[in-house]
Amino acid sequence: MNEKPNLLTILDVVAGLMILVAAGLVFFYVPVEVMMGSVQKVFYFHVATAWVGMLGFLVAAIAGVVYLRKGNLLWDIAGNGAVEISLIFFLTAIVLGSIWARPIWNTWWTWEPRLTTAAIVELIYAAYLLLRQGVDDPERRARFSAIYAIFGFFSVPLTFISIRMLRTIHPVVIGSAEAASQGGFNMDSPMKLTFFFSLAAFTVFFADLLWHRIRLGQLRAEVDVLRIDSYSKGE
Amino acid sequence: MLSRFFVPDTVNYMIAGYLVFGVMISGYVMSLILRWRKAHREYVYLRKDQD
Repeated sequence: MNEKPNLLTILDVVAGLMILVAAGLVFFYVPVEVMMGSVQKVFYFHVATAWVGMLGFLVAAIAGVVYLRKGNLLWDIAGNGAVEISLIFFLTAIVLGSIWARPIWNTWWTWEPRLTTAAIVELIYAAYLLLRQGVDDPERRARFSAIYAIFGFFSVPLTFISIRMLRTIHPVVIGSAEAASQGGFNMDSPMKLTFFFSLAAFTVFFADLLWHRIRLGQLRAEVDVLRIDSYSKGE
Repeated sequence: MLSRFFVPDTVNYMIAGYLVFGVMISGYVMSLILRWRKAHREYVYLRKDQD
């Protein structure tokens, strides 16, 4: 197995520093929103984690398309890794949203369009990981996963546009909000800076995690080959 | 100006949110490290076995 590339070490440091700076901006720089109080500060990491979730599902769909065209299993490893990371980040976004909703909407959860479609997306990709476990042949598993990731991705833009197209209480911070939405606010300059910096920091963090996850997938694939070799020698 | 005196106290929810974030993401990073170590140990062992 190849040694860890220097570029990956640099990316580790840059991603870690950017996340720390983003947290510093949230806690020490951005002002407290007067209508919601401190809980509004959850918004910056809530949107950033949701963004990474959606980005990863897009990467998985693209990796699926490339795998179907080229047949290289590296793209299956990349797609699987992207889904795994995104599932964690998207779940984090849902939980952060729920914590924000408790004091603002007076409930942890409500079956409105954004929350419902987000829950569906999470379940679709959880099923992706579970179903992969049921296929032993790597080629068949990769083909199945590629097709699943491509079709599964249709659920992601549905979640994104749900608060812009349907009647919902979920606020739209960028763009025009539905009249029934609760908890919206206008971003001033420090808020915009913190928001966009958090998005950038999480994008770099995602790239870093994905690289690590791809290396892990490659190492596991090598272990599987060695295991089969040693088993066939033993027979 | 009056609104400054009525900012709701929701700091506990903010702390809870960032705690949840920290636990979930660091948990995932730890799982990556542990899985890498396990796979690497296995790789070294099987490699030795081959030689």
